[in-house]
Amino acid sequence: MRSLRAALAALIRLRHTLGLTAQIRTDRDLTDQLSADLQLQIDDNLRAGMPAAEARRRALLKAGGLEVTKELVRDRQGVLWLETLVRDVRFGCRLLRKSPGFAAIAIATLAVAIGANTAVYTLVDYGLLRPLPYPEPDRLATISRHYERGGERLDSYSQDGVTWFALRELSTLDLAIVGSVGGVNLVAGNQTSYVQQQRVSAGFFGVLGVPPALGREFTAEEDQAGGRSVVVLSHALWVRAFAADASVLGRDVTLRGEPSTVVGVMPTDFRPTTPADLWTPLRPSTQGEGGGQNYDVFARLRPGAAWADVRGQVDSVGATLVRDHYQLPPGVRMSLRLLPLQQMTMSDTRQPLLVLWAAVGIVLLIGCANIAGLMLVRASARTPEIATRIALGGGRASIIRQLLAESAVLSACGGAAGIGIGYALSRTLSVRLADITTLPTTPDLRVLLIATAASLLTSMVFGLLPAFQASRTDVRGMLVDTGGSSIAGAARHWPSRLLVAGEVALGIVLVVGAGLLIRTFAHLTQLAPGFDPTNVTTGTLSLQDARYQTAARVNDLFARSLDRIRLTPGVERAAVALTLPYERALNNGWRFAGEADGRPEAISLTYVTPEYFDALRIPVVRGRVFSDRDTAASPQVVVVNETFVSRYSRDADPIGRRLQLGAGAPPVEIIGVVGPVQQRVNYGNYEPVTPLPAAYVPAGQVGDGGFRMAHTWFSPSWIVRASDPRMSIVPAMREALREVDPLLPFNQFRTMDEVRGEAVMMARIQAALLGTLAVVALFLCSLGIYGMVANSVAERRREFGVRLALGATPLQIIRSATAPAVALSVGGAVAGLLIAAGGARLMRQLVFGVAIGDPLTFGLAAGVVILTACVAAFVPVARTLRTNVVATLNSR
Amino acid sequence: MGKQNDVWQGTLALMVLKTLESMGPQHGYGIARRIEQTSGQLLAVNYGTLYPALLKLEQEGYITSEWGVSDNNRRAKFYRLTRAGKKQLEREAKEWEQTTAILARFLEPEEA
Repeated sequence: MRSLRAALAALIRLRHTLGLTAQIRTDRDLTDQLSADLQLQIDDNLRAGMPAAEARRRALLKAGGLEVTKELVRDRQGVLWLETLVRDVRFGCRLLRKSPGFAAIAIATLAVAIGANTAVYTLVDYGLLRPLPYPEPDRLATISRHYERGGERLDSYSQDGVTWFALRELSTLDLAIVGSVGGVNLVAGNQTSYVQQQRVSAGFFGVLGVPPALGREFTAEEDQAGGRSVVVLSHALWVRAFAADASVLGRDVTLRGEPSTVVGVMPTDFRPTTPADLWTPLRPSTQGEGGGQNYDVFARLRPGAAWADVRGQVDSVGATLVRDHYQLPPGVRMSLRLLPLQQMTMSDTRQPLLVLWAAVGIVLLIGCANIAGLMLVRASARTPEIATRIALGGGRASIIRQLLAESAVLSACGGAAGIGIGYALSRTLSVRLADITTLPTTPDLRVLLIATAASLLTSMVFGLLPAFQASRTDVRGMLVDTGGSSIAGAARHWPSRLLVAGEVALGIVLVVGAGLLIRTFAHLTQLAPGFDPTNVTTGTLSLQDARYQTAARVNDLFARSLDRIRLTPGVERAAVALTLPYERALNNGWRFAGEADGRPEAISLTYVTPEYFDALRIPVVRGRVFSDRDTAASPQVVVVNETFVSRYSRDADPIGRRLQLGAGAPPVEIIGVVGPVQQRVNYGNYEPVTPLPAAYVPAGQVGDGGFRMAHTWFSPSWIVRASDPRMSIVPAMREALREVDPLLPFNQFRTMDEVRGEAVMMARIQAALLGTLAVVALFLCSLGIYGMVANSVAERRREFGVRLALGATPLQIIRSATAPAVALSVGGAVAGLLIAAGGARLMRQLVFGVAIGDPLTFGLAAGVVILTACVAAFVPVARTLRTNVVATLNSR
Repeated sequence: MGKQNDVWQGTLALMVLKTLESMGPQHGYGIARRIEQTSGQLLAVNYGTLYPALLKLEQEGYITSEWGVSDNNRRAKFYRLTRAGKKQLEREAKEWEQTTAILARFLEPEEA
C-alpha cells in the first residue's frame, strides 16, 4: 500500500516535471501575483510610517525589476513553449506583413531554390540513391567485362552467347539476359500500334523478383529457337490496347506480322530498367546476335550464396573464357566481374544526374546566402529596436528565438511554394524525359519530407547567423548613435559581404558548368553533317515481321515501294537505308581479307539501296557507288567512307581491297569512297556524334540472315528528296506503302533536322537544364548584390549628401558606393573560377568539342557574372542619386 | 544598511521548503521576508530570484499554490508544502547537515 502511494506520488511529480498538468501560468496570473506581493510590501512600508510615494518607491526598489522577473519566470516555464512558439510565429508573420517586399523576395527565392531541388532530387533519389525497385535489391547483380590496358580500365556490360551459356552453369546464381529494345508493330483487334519490345530470356522476371500480375512469364521451351511465340504485356499497354481485359490471356495478337499468344501482364507498379511496352523471348544463341556482345546479364544471388564466393566463381569462368574463347588485342587484359546490378542501370545516368544535383545544390546555396543577406539587412535595420529591448531587460535568448521564428515562417511559406513549384517542374520533366528514362519523376512522401527538412534547415542555418549578430548588439553604442549618420565600413558589414562574395563564386561555378554544356551542344549541332539535309523527309518502319524473313521479300518491298514513291510529282530521289546519318549504325567486326585476326574496333555498317548517296547528296570521293546491277548474283561490293580510309588504308589505295565483315563472311571488294557523315556513337570514348569509320553494302546483296538480324535491332528508313521545300511528301509516302503492303504502316516520319535533334537530345537536355539553372543563379546573385548595395546606400545617404554638398561629383559617389560590391564580385569570381576549374573535371564525360578548362567559357562566365554584379550594384546607387540627396541633410 | 549577500539558488529551495514547513502556507512576499529575517538581514531575496525558484518547486510537485486572502485582507497567492515536499525537505536537510559537517571538519584547526 505504501509503495503504491509512493509510486503514485512519483507519477504525479513526473507529470509536474514534464509540465503535463495545468501548470501553465498565464502572464496575467503572474502579473497579478507580482503586484499582489508588491502591495503587501507597500502595506508594510506604510505601516512603518513612510509616506505613500516613498512606500511605493522602496517596494519597487526592493522587488528588483518586475519585467526581468517576469522574463525569468517565462524562461523557467518550459511548459509554455507552445504558447511562446505561437506568439513568436504570430510576431514573425506580423513583421513580414509589414515589409511585403522583403517577404516576397525571400519567399520567391526560397520557392525557386526548393522547387528546383525537389524536382531534381526526385530524379536523383530514384536514379542514384534508392536501391532498385525490386525485392531484395542487394542480391541483384550483373556481370561485366572488365578491360585493363596500362592504367586504363573499362567495364562493358554486354556479353556474347558463349559467355551466357558458360555463366548459366553457375549454381549460385539465377541468371537472365536482356537484348535490345526496339519498335515493332502490334495488331490487336483491328488496331495497329507501334510499341517498344524488349527481348528477355526465360526467368527474367523471376530474377527481378516481380512475377506477372496476370498469367506467367516465359518457359525455357518458349525461349528456344522454334519455341512458341508468346508475349508478356506491360500494364500500361494492357490498359491502352486491351482495355484491361483479363480474358486477353491465352489470346493471339499479331506481333511482328505473326500470331503471338499473350501469356502474362505485368503489375502496374513494375518499373523496367528501360522503357518497354511488351516483352518477348530472347532465344539466346551463340550465333547471329549471340555471336557479338548483345546481351545484358541480370543475376540474382541464390539464397545462401555469398558475394565473395560467387565473385570468385565468375572470375574463374572468365579466366577459362579468356583462355579458350575471347580474342584480345595485345596488351589488353580482361576478366569477368560480378557487380551490383545498379552499377549497370546507373552507368549512363549517374554523371548527368550528379552534375544536375550539384547545380541545383548551388542554386539552393545561393538562395540561402541571399536570404541570409536579407535577414542581416533587416536585423541591422532593427538594431535600435533590439538594443532598446535588451536595455529594457529582454533576454537574448528570446530575441534570437523571435528572429528565428521569423525565418521559420519565411521558410515554411517558401518551402510550401517550393514544393508546389517542384511538382510543376516534375510534370514538365516527366514529359521531357519520358523517352529516355523509366525513373518516376513525381515526388513522393520521402522526397517531400526531405524537401521540408531542407527548407527548415535553411531557415535554421541562415536565420541563426543574423540572429546572433543582432543579439550581440552593443546596447549603449546603438542607443547613443542616432542612426543614419554612420559611414560605410562598419565591421558588422562583413558577414553580408562574405555572403555576396560566396554567391558570386558559386554563381561562376554554375555558369561555367552550363557554359561548357552549352558549348558542347553547340559543337555537336554545328558539326558539318556530311550530307545535305534540306528537303529530305524520312519514314521509318519495323521490318521485324514474319512476312519479311527472306532477302527476296525485303528487296521486293524496297523496289516496289520506291518505284511507287518516285511516281509522286516533285520527288527527286528515293532510297532505303538500315540506318540514317545521326543515328547509330550496326557495329560490325571486320578485317581485310587475308588477315588472321579481326580488327579490335568495329565499323559502322549500313545497307542502302542505290539512290541513297544521291538522295542525301553524300559526296562520292573516289570510285563508284551502287547501282541496280549490284545484286545477289553479281560480285559482292562495299563502299567505305573517308574516315575508314584515313584510319585503315592510308598507305594503300582502298579501291580494289577486299574486306571480310565478320569472321567467316565472304570477302567483299571496295568499289568506292564517300565523304563521312555524322553518326551517333554508343561505345568507347568517342563524342556522342562523330563521323565514324563506316562501310555501306547494297541492300540487294544482303542475305536472309543478315536482314533478319539487322531488323531485330533496327527499323529501316525510307529517304525521299523533294524538289520543293514547301511540299509535304508524307501523305504520298504513306499512300505508296499502303498500295504495296496495306499491313505495313510507317511508324514515324522525320526530317533530317529531327533525326539530328534526337542524336544530340541528351546534350540538349543537359545544356538546357544547366543553362536554366545558371540563369536562375545569376538572377539570385544579382538580387543579393542589389540588396547589399541598396542597404549600404540607404545607410550612407547622409554621408553622400554631405559629400555632394561639399562638391563631390555624382560619378565619385557612384564609384565609392559601388566599389566594395565590384571588388567583392571580382574576389568572388576569382575564387569561383578556381573552384570551377576543379569541378569541371567531374564533367569530363559530358563535355565534347571544347576543353574542360576552356578559357573562353571561363572568361565569358566571369565576364557575365561580374557585369551582372556591376549592374546590380549600380542600379540602387543611381536610383538614390536621382532623388535630392542633399535635401536629406535638412531633414534632421 | 549593512552589506547584504545575494542568496544562491540551491540553498534557496531548501530555505523556501523549511519556511513553509515552519510557518505554514505563505505568499511570496512573506517567504522573502521570513528568509531575510531568519538570516538576520544578511540575505536579500528579490523576486527575480524567488519566483523562478518557487515555479521550479511547484513544477517538481514539492509545493502547490492557490489564491487566498492575507491577514490584512489583501489578495495574495499562497504556497503550501505538499507531502512530497515534506519528504524532499527531510532529504535535503539531512544532506545539507552532512555536507556542512564534513566541511566543518576540514575547516577545524588541526590538533597537534
